[in-house]
Amino acid sequence: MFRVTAVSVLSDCRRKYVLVLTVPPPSFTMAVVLECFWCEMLGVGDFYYEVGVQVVELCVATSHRNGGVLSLDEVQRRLNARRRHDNQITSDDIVRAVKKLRVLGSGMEVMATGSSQFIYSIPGELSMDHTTLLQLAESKGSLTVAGTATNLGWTEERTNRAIQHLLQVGVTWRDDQSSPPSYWFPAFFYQCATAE
Amino acid sequence: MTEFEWPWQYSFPPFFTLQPNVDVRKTQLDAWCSLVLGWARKNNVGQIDVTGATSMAVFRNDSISRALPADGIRVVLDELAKRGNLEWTDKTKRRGYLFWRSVREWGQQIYQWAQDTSRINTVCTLFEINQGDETAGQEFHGLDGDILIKALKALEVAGKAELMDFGDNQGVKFL
Repeated sequence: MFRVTAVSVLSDCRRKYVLVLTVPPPSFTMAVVLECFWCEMLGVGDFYYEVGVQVVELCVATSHRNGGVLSLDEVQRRLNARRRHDNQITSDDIVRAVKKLRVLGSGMEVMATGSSQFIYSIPGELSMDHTTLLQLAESKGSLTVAGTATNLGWTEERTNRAIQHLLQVGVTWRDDQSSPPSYWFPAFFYQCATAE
Repeated sequence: MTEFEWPWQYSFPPFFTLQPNVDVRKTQLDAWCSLVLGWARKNNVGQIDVTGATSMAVFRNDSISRALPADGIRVVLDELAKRGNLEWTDKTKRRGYLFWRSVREWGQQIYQWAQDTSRINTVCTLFEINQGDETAGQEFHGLDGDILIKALKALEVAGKAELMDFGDNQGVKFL
């Protein structure tokens, strides 16, 4: 289980830490390196830093069901649910927090797609093909290899490779009962994003 | 009685396909086991027959035209058996008892009721226990007859009860 102590250590920030947050399968390990100078620069208790930590917490806690991809809407909704009414954060706050954490090599990234955005925190980098596919998935809900290849102007082989990787990291699930087989994304599935 | 609350996975079409990725499959099986036990509990289903399983509401969602295929059902049931929530009635593994609560826990609950209602050292019929008016508010009311007997046998082993046969009826004396 995600260790709560990781959070409190992060906000102490007195010396250099390498924090390894590990979640049982689907295995997910993230290393966040904190340097003293950064804490001095931003000051302990920096607002974006706190928000960033909460986003990390949320990613780790839900990665078992969405593979490490979350819509920005869902992140905002869930974080605000835990905050006082007069202390709500905007999606912009979240984007800034993630970008600041990224500087530290958090491995978290914000991706924009049309009018909406999503955050991903997946070990190993996502290639441009992967993120392009994710953007398409976010607007379509489910994808097929042939349909996606046509849509993006890719070969089926290239499409398949990208999908296989996303299958490997648990971001997409395969549906064998559609014709042809299709791929769905828990992160962009309404009932999953709003589940307890 | 309120409607059973289906988890988000139940509306998710790929949930009804066994996932190829080992880690994702584990998450999927966790969700299936949880769903089957929760549904069995809500609908008072104590036994499962593999041959009829494909038509059970819990393994199919007609509103999205998806159903867990027979081999998928088999994997879920095997997993439940591994976790102690399912007991095959024989080697052919065609029928099994579903325990959303273990047999021992059922026994303890029934014994507690017997204590609370001053029934120690008296005899009850099995009917009284799982179908009688006096147990209407109890969780074990409506409990599958075979599971009830297993629960009482567990109490017997613990020296807290003695099963009795009255020909037509079966009863138990709480000790």
